[in-house]
Amino acid sequence: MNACSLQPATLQPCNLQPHQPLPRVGTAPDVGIFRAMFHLGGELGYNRAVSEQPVIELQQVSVVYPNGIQALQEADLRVNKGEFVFLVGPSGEGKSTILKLLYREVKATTGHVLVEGHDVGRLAAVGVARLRRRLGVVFQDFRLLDYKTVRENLTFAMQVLNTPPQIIRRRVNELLEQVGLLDRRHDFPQQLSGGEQQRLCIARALINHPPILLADEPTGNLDPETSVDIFRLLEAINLKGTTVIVATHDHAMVDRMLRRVVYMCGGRIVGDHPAGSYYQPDECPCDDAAPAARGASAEW
Amino acid sequence: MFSRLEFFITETFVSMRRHPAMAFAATICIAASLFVAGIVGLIVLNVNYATDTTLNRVRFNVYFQPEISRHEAWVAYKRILDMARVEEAQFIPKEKSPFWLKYQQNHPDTKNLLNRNPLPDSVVVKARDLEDIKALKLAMLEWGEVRSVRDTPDLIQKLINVSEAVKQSGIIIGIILIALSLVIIHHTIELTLYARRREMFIMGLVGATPATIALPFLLEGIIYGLFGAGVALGILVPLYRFAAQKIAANFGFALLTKGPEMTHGLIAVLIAGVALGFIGSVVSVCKYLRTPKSRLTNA
Repeated sequence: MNACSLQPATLQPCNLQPHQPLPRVGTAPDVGIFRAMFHLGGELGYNRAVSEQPVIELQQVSVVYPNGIQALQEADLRVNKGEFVFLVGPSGEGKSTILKLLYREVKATTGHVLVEGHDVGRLAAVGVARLRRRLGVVFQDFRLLDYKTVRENLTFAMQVLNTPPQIIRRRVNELLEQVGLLDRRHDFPQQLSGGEQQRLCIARALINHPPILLADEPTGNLDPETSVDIFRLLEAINLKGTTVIVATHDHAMVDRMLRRVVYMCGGRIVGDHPAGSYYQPDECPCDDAAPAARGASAEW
Repeated sequence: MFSRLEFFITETFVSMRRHPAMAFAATICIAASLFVAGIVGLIVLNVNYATDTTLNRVRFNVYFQPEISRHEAWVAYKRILDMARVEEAQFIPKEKSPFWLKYQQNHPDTKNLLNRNPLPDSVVVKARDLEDIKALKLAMLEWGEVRSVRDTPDLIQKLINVSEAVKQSGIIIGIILIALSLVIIHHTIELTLYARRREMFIMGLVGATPATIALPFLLEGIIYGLFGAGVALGILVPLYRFAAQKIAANFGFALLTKGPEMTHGLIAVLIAGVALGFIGSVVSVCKYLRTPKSRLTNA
């Protein structure tokens, strides 16, 4: 696949080198450099006006799994509408748990999780379904419907919203073309490579134009070139007003995008770096301690 | 509304097509259960039919006093006819008595010797219910015109007992079979759904409501039930016809092959199939639709 095949129609052809060296300084790079990197057509991502209206709030949230592992400890987080937030930190430190709390795969042991003002922990089954329709989720392990074709995986996500068939057809074709899977639309997920499954998962997350996009290691299975394309896609989606939260290990990409970075360690939020600055992972206070959450792996 | 319905139907059939082994297992399981239930049902139906047919022929004879006139006998006969528990009654004048006719036929030489018929006039009575016979007999014996009442009480009681035993054992066997079928079908569908619990979980993650997830599975259950019933009937009906022919040819006993009982039986098997498929699906789907507790931590 062409490295740039994931780009949205509004973007120019990509010429970004995946490991392009960047200065590690605490200030934002020159606007010209950033624009040249991502060709975002004039608007600089991290300088965008972000609403002060919180769409996601974690209030003193702790999560203890039934096996006793504490995955999250008294986490406080507020994400405003239209923000792009990276959750970074070592494996098993609670990044995925935060995302799972938001789409209610796990429930907080203590504290409150609010999404668009709704207390997620108090939602009934139908309320959870409605919440999930407002969220696009890119899962670390894809979670595709194995017995459905590529096309049907996308169609199903629209059918549950009772979308008219004509709109489904148009939107599915459009998105399949964007993620470069139009030719594979009749294949089943098992017939796709890891990268293709990842792209399908991203396409499914985007299909209903969700106001909030959650991505758990969206580039974990991708080659560097495709990873760049994925982040460019997420960037473009964010520019349209979607709130994006990405849990990632891809420090190079986090460095390049200069967005808000929430650093997690030992199940705690230990750093919150605003957009336009570089975070310093070396400063993590947990480095010497054995975090309680280690082992609370993403397999949960 | 139509597109929603179309969505559910399409989901159901696509799912069935892509899980042929599961569809086969569920259908065969329901078919096997209904086949066994069908055999028991047919046995009960035929025993009942045979008992009812025999019992339907049961009559008893009321003999009048030889001294009373024909007119008095006729009035008594009318009284019998007016009794609420009597379904039908036939007056037999003594010269038309089958015993007398048979005697005359067998002894033509003694015809002149015994030309005076010693038998009284009689009435052949059919009660509305077999259990009414005893009460009728006691009532009629109190009349002055009646000399005696004759029937075959032991045979009647035996037939009544057999009929009741078959009905009761049929109900008990039927309940046991339905319970067993439900357990087997529940486990079969649960196993098929266990293999697909991940799908159900993912459907939930992309925003499908429990009803949206459940409906195609319930429709699948109903279709498996219908197919299962169809397979069971497809084997049972020709097999039964073949057996009926053989029994009629070899034992001269006609099995029940037509009539409303058979039609009702066929419809009952179809309904039972649908119900078994539906109930099995409901139980299993409800189980897997609940979020696994191990995933949730509660405050």
